[in-house]
Amino acid sequence: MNKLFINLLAFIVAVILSYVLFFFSKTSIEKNIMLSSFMEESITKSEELKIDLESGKIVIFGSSELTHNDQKFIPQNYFNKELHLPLRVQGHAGAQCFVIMSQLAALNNKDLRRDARVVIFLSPGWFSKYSEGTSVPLFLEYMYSGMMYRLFFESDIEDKYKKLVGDYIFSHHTDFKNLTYLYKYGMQYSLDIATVNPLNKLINKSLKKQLTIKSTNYSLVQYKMPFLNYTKLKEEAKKVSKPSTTNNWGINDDYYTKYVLPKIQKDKFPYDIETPSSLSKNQEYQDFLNLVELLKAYKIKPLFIMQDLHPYVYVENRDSMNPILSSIKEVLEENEYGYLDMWSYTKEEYEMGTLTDIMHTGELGWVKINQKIIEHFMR
Amino acid sequence: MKYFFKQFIIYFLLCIGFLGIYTYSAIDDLNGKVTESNVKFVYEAF
Repeated sequence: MNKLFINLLAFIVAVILSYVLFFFSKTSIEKNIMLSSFMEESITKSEELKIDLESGKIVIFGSSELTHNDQKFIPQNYFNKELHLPLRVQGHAGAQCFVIMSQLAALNNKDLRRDARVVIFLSPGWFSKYSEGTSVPLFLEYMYSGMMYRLFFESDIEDKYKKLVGDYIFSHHTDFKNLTYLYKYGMQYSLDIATVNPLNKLINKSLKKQLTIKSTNYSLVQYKMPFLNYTKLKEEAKKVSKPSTTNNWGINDDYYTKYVLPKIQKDKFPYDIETPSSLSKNQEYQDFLNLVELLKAYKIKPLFIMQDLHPYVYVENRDSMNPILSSIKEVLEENEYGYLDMWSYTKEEYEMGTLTDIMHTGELGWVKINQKIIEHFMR
Repeated sequence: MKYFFKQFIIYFLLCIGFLGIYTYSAIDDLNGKVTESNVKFVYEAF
């Protein structure tokens, strides 16, 4: 007999036999999966955000501006403590459009699409210095195993969003250490081989069978519009702002002394804004478009807020932001989403105190943003 | 026939080895191994 034929036959028989053997050992595989409660804990961790979205609580996705917890009018303080209206903030420095989209894709279901009230804080820095998009550490922080499981096995999101996450893992794979099963599964999804791999089918079946995802009861959040005197609140905001005595731009003294003054002394002032040469090369803008697309299915229109960069500090090349900002505005208006543009197109239109430093929203800015949130969701 | 069995054993061991490694590494992952990042995100005011 031809050696090639013998080898082929031996290989086929070996594959069949080993697969049969493997199939009958699946009980042992299931038992092994249950050795640890890791996956259940990871899924439970994601439950809180899911409930907040499904219950219609206002959820703000943003980045570094959300971590200034000492501000009176920052939404998590003002809504929860002053107005006693429930609101959640999600994110910190570096949490950009892609990881926001990934989280919403992972938790997508009909209840969420019907009731979620989502606010997205956009930072101009995302589309300039950080225009390469979400970095891997931030992706992993918010898309942990439980969220990855939800994305691929629980969510009813369209395949293209699952594929986008897979593509991200695939294109950043060198930035990952110890790629575990669910992330490898994502990469295979990107290559269209995840669902045809029989081994995956076996593992996923065992995983689904063993995992008990507890559904938590919740009641829908109803908002009643509070009657507020915004003129008075703006005056109060100016009073409670951090002191700014060392400069004429309303930048708080600590920040100015630590970061801005040394740059002035080194003659590296004013700052410039660097943007990619075109929107197609701006990864963050592409991620923004995908996020906008995903939100189209939501019954309650989301609200986007574009923040500012201090117009007296970021002076050089400031106009390079204009095409990006006008495209963002156009896309949001096309979709009839709420939009508050806080960007200062001229120095004259900037009101001191809107920012606390050179890029983070200050007390006065928060009052304006809070007003927009209330008007958008509590009409 | 002897040659067939020899080849079969080789392929069989290879298949079992591959299936075992793939599955048990997946089980290991699902039991608590955490994916980490090789890079650090350094946030700076710019």
